[in-house]
Amino acid sequence: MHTLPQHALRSEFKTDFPRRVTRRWREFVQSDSVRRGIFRPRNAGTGVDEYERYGSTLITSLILDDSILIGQIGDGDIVLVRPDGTVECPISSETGLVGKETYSLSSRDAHLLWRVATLDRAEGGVLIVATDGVSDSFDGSEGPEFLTFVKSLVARVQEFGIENVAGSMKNWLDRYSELASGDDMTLVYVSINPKEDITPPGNSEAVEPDTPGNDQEDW
Amino acid sequence: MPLNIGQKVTSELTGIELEVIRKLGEGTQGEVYLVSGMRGFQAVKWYKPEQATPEQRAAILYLVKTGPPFGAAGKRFVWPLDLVTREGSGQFGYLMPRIDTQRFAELGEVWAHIKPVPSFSSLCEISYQLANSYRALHLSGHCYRDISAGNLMFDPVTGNILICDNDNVGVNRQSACQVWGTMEYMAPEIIRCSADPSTQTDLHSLAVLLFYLWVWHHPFHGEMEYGFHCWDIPAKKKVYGESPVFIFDPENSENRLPPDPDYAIARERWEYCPADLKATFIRVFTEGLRDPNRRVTEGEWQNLFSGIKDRIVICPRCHAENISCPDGQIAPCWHCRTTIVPPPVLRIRRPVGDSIIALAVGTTLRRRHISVSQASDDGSEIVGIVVQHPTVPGAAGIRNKSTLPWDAAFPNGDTARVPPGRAVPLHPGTTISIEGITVTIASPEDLVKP
Repeated sequence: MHTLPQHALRSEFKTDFPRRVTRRWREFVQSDSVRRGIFRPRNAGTGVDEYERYGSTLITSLILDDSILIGQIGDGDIVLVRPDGTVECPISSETGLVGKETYSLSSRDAHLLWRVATLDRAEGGVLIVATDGVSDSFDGSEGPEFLTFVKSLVARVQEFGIENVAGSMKNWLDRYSELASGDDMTLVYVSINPKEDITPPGNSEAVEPDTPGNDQEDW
Repeated sequence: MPLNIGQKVTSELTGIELEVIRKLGEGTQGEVYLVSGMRGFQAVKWYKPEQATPEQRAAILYLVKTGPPFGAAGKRFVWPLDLVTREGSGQFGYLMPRIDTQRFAELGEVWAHIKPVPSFSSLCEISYQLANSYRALHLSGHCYRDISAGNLMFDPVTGNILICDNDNVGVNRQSACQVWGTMEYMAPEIIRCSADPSTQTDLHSLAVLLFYLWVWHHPFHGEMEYGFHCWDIPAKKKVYGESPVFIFDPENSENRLPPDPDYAIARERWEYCPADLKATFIRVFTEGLRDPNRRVTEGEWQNLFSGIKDRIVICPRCHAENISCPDGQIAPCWHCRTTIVPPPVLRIRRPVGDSIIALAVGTTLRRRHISVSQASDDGSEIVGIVVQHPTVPGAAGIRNKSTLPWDAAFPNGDTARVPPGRAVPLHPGTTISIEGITVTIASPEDLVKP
């Protein structure tokens, strides 16, 4: 009797996830548009238009026992900071598009436009997911200034605790938006414990932190 | 444990010390690192602890000792160069050449528009080289066992390819293997547990990969796959192994493409495929499913893609590539609907069958057109090339680029010896004897005459 290899999950994720999640998204869109009474019959073969009003970029991640699965369609950033300070950008920011154009779940052949990656959970780290407005406030995806911001954010959480940093985050992002990109911003911070060593992240007893990115010499 | 930046590892057989520069990527079996040593920058695949087994170590040493298949076909394999170890660790990896990822693309990068979409000509070259390299590997007595798009990189412009992750290559029907392939590429008999990976099951995986390259879709992803809300292992076993049905099977409509946007690209790209390619896909995914002995061989794929590439004609209006029929006729341009006047062709009579090359300035006659290539040879040596006449506008000829003279016979009965470097005018009816093979310059009308 043959058994599937242990690493099958990762390869199957890469081949199946984009197609299946895109299809599931369309099912939800259709269900919602029917509920709202705005559904139009599908134009078989090229029926993309009916989804346009729901179009969105999407970044997803699933943290498993030994793996981190990541998928992205459209712009935005996903960065993993390992405990030793190493920064990994598992999804290349290169999209082949010009300027602010981006792909979305409603794009034609959206299932082919996903970029996926799998990482070892190993020693864990911090996964930061952000909309493009954040990196655009610095020097763009994978830019040194943006990555410095990311690392300093992790340092702030380690120093002051996640709740304190979260409390200040709205003001920081509003300020970046005002000063730079002008775009709306969403940032998700995920603390990933090491594969076997499950310990609570951060120190919640700390004081109000400074705005991250102001003291780059820490890094 | 993964490797750290700056860490030193040792190339086992040569004793050369290598420094880890940075992580390049992460696969299912381990991580890949850029390393620096006295031979410059190279790459190391470092196995995860559970993959670093004595069997895998022995397999790597065997591959290092054996080396890749000979010739151009073998050079496309990014082959293990040496076993790599780290002091104080039972883990290991292997050294391999570094890949230029700016130049070479993965299929997923093309789908995501990060790298350019290959032209028909490049696609033919990619497909030809794939078949050519796997032919050489199989003739050397090895099977790959994990053929998939994830192991292929290609230059979208030239069509040159690289085959990566060769650490699972083994002796056909003998070696044990840690990898059973990616399920959607597995031959049905492997999924049904009635066979082990072999050169014969490689042929199925190769056909699936070629279908992905041309149609951007899996050959069995139709109504059956669409109907599974939960796409789990039992569902996959059913679609890929227990009852696979080709989505374009002309006699079984059970698994047609559903009317869903995800499937539009497959329908569209299938229509771009020339008739002989469609017929071959139909054969491999119908007869070849029922009887593995009837799968399309690498040699058949080679001849098919070489032949299709030779029939590409550029639309004079929009410059889109169009593929003429084997009889030289050509439909209106698929892109702008302009009527295309069929160009003159070179008809080649060989013991294995006739073939044609559509002629235009720059068209090349290659070694593979006039002789059966050896396992190690990709037949790409240029034997002749169509050139413009130096003084007469609109006139062209085919220049002898080989080292041996040709013998030409003209329609008026004259004959001439054509030494290397000289050209024969492109007059329909002219025959040229090249190394014992007769080629005829013909107008498309000549081809349809009985």
